[in-house]
Amino acid sequence: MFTRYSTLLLLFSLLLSSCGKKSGSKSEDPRPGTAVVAIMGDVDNFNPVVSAELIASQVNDAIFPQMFDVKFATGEGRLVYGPMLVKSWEFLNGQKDIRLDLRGDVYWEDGVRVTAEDIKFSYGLYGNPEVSSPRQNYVRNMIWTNGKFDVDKSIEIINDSTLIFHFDHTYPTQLFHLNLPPIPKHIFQNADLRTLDSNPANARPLSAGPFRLEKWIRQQEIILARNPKCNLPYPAKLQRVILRVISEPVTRLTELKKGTIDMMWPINPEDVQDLQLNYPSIRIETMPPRVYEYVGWANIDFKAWNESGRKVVKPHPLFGNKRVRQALTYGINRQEIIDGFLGGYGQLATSDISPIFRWAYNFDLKPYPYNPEKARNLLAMAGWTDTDGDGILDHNGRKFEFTLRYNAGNARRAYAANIIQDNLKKLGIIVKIEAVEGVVFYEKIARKEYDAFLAGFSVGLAIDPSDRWGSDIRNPMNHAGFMNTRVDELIRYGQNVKSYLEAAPFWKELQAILHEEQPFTFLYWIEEIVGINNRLQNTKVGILGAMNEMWNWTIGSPQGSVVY
Amino acid sequence: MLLYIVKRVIAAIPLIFGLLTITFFIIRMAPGDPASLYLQGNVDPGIADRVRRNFGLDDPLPVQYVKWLKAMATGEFGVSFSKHRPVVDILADAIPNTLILTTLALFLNIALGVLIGTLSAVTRGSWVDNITTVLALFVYSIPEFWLALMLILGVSLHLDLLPAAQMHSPNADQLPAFAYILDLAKHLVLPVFVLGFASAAATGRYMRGSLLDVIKQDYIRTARAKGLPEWKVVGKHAMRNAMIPVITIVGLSLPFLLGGAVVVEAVFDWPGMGNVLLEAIFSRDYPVVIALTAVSGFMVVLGNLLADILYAVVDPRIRLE
Amino acid sequence: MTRNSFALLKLMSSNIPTGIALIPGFGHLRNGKIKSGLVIFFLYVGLLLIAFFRFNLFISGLKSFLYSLVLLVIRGEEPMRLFRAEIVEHWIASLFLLALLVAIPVWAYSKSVQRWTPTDDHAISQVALAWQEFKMQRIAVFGLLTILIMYGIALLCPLVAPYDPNALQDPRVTKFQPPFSSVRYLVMKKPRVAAVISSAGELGEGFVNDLIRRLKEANATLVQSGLEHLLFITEYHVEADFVVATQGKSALRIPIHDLRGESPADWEGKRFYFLGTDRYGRDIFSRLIYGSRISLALGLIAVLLAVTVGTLVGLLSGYFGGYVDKSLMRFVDILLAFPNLFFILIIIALFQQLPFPRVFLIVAVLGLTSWMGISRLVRGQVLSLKEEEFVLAARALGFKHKRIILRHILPNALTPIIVNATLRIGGIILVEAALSFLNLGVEPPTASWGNIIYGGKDYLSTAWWISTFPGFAIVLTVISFNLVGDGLRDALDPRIRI
Repeated sequence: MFTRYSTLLLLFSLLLSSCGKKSGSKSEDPRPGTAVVAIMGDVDNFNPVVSAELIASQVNDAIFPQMFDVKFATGEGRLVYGPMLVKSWEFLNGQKDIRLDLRGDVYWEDGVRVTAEDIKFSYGLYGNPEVSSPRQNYVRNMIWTNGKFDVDKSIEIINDSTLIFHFDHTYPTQLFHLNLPPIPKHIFQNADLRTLDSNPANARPLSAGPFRLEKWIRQQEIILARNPKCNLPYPAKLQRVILRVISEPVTRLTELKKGTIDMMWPINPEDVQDLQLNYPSIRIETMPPRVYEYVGWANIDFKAWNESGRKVVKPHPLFGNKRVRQALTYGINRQEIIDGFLGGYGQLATSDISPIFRWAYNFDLKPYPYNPEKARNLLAMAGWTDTDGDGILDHNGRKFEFTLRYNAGNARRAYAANIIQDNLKKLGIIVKIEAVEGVVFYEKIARKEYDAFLAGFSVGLAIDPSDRWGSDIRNPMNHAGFMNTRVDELIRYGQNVKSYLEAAPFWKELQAILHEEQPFTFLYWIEEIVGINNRLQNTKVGILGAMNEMWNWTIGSPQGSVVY
Repeated sequence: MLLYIVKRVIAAIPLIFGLLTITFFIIRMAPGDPASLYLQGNVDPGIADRVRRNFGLDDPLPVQYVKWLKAMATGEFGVSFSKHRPVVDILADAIPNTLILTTLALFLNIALGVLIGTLSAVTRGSWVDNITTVLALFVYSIPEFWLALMLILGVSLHLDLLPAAQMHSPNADQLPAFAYILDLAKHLVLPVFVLGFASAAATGRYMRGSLLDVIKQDYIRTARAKGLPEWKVVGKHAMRNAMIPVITIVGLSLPFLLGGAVVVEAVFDWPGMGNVLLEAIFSRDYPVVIALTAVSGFMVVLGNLLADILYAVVDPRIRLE
Repeated sequence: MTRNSFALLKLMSSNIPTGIALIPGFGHLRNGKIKSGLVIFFLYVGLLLIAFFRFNLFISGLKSFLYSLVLLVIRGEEPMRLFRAEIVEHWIASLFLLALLVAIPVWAYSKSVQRWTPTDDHAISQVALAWQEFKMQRIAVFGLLTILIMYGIALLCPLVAPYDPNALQDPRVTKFQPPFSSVRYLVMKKPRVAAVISSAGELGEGFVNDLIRRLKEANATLVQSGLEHLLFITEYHVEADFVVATQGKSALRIPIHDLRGESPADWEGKRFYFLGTDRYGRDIFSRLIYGSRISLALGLIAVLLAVTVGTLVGLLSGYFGGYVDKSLMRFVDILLAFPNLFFILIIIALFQQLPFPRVFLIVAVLGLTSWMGISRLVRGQVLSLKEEEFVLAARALGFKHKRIILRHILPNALTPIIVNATLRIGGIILVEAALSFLNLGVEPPTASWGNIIYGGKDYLSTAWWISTFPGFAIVLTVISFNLVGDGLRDALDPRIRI
């Protein structure tokens, strides 16, 4: 018995010793023609109609045929559209209709042509309530009959390569709403719509883009391989891109430093200096500010509203007063959070319209400075002073105490919450911090059960404030319970113009109102940090993500001379 | 013997049933709503209601329970809420990965444990014994995740000897068979070490006690009196009997094979049951959580059974009733 | 300490006059118990040092407790309005320190005067015998001492911890300081953020108002973090009437008359960080001390819970037998079939949204998932004790079940329970740490050893000290409990006694 075990032990120690040896010399590329990207979580599926995760949509962009070649013009601060699957397009009927002419030489992997039928079929799925697509709102301004999306009236097929989209009014982001990728009709036409999200075909998508899905080992790896038949725009330059699921941040960073992965994000600002000093083979790039964080305040009394069956609307006892909300913003040292955690990779926010939209951003607004004196005076004006000498503000017998929630596991928000708690304690406000598990957190925010919470948002590439700031309190996205008739007007105006520039004055006024009202305390815009190994070249980290235009990536010199 | 096994198996059935019932009600009564995953972004709130209906969450709890019992009877674990695929497939993906990790860890545990225990028992009272005892205690007291983090930092990052995460290197699927296995072995070293090392300390202490008990027995004295060399006395006569209780550890470790690696899997991003469980818990993926509990509960019951039988097989003194 | 110096000490101490036994430890020394004497002496010196260096806090804590007590008696709810949760820990610490300062000399003196005679065998109780046995194992005694000191520190934590564990000031300067480093600061004349605007009326004359005023003063001393006047800086220099201070990249111009005193000696200072700081600039050492409260209390309470439930079920099951036994043991079987960590994770993750802090949930879950082993153990003991003659005799005498169980069975079944419980505490502390690592532990900013490690794990390569020291603390504690458990087993188990 014992000898058998010792043999095992011997075997194991052999294994151990063999691992110490390095395989091959350093100069030899361990994985020619292959780029490895670390992602935090696996994708849910490869069907753009039903996939709900951000990472999935970024991968799908490289697999499925793209309608337009979308770029972000940084100077103007807006999206521009070029031809891709759509060869050319024309606005008809005073911009209410759009005719699309498709390329005739785009094929799915199995040799079937991508046609107008695929597009109509796919939009039918996007808009079908049975499917529950997270992108259903893309079709909301097309033609609806009896409260249902009417795909036959919305999309008119002229021939295999030509189709016309009908909208019920004109607005600046119509093309944006036409940019959903189609899925192959001949694969999905008999699929059960209600279980589309668990359809087995979602795991082996038919590609028409620069990459095809070679292998998907769930929870581990997504292996994308070059699609040699691609015309859209051309096959990828790399043989393979491997997405590795590594959820533990320590491990992810270790792998980047060791060179076993070529790209990862987000990198902690704390680690940037270490990377720059000690790892010359890794370059640091940043994504422009598309994500902001904020403290959401209950502008109306959520408890009364929920308990009355969503009827009674009255100001919140603490945060219902504009002066109090302004005071809270004055009383929070936002720059301290930026300096302390974001290490310069962030900027103060004035509203939720990102500075990347240069044409719409209101540069006249100046962020509130940290000014506890002013905060205290504003609070006193609103009736909040310490009447019993216990060091805590009170008003009409109520102490200024509240719980600030954030989603557990988010280190940045944990940091911000700690600073806010400390800042407000100095004003005589008692803040309790509670880290809530993510699923529950977002659910309760949507149901308006939290009076104060720390959350973040990645803004869309088309400005659309209607969900968040429209006066419909029932909208789960109106997290603050915000109501303002002037804002409603501005949103209506801004969404009924023909070109984006005409909307600019409305959006600027909207920002001024938000700045004054402070329905949230807008904290800061975040520039996410991406670490890339220098062997990976021609990356295009930008507003459209770190994996944007993956098909142009190369290994080796920036000129891309080494193409496998 | 066969009758004994059959009896024990039948006795285990209500056990598993009770286990599943308790799990079902605990999970269903917890706060949190899987449909809320769909409430993020600009989504029509009506969609969440439809999702909930599709999941069958609209029925009253007893109805859900009966439906679920029926499904379990037919071996139907359902479809994962968050991954949109059959739970059976998810388990089928994860179980082999965990098994390879934990089986090796168990081997390491026993091999190392027996070695330490024997060394310590043979040299009882000496400084060797004292040092091994204290060292074993020390190792046993280190939090698993902490040891894992330190190893990643030291062995993987600074010494650059071993990979830190996952099961394979990128592009491993293109390697020849031997290189592929070597690659897998490299990825196994750290997690297996962390898992096996701490439990080896416990096994070692167990082994030491057991061996000391045996050494006191008459037949060992006889063997010594015969003039047999000490290594033969210990290695041949004493070990055989001292191993009996250690063997039962194998049986009792069966549930560990599937569920013992949660923390280690989380640190090393090992794509096994532990990671599946954590993800399922955080996204309220009821079918997955229930299936995992069922499977691992089953393993516990099976493990106890196996331990008893093994014990009976190895030790002829134990009669089966 | 070598054998010679020991003998020397022994020789010296035998000449110590009796009166000197009033000094804690010296009585023991005089009786030749060198090691106990030294331990008692140095522990007492440590306590005196704490009382000396934190005299202000110590006295304020006592005052606050006393005034609150008096006010509570004469005015009902009056002191409750001024009451804050963090004051309680000061009361506990101050009272505990006072108790120790008084009790140790008294106990040590009485111990050293009363002569223990080893020949008097009959007078030695079971407990004393076990203690004698336990004392033989030096390493177990060492473990016990470590545990006692740790619990002592946990109770005294506001007095032992050098700084407030949660307060933060200028984190961009103080964050990520390595161990044994210090950060410079300037002392301002006025608090950095002025006091809260108060519209409270002035208190009138009279005894009660005077008491309230004093209570407020004492409480104010207790809740101050000591950071109010400090401005942490990287560098500074004087330019005419201004001080130009830099905080990392940004610079500040401060008028000199805003600083305390006249010369740099008055306004300059340094704060020393023994074990470094975390990413908020909080002192790791202080957090470690405060964190010990959670980890130690959690282990103890969870085990007490497990022991209570386990003993109860085991007693009932073993004593009554029959259907009670069958159904209870079946239930135990089902619960044992739950894979432990799986079960704990599921419950804590699913039920974390509760109106009370998560610590209670964790204690309850850890306690209620670990009693099954104990109940089986107790049942086994009871089954064998039931057949013992003294129990049969008690039954024959017609004693009530309650009396038989409590008087005759329970005391005799205690030994394995105590050993098992001690060994279990270490395991529970490890589970709590693992839960914290999966972010299911005690919620921040409350410090626990597990969540300090969790908070530092992302910075392991740049700031190793954050996660390393609490790791050592856990290892030390778990080892100590295991040593004591082993020692107890050897001491209590009569079969091993030679």
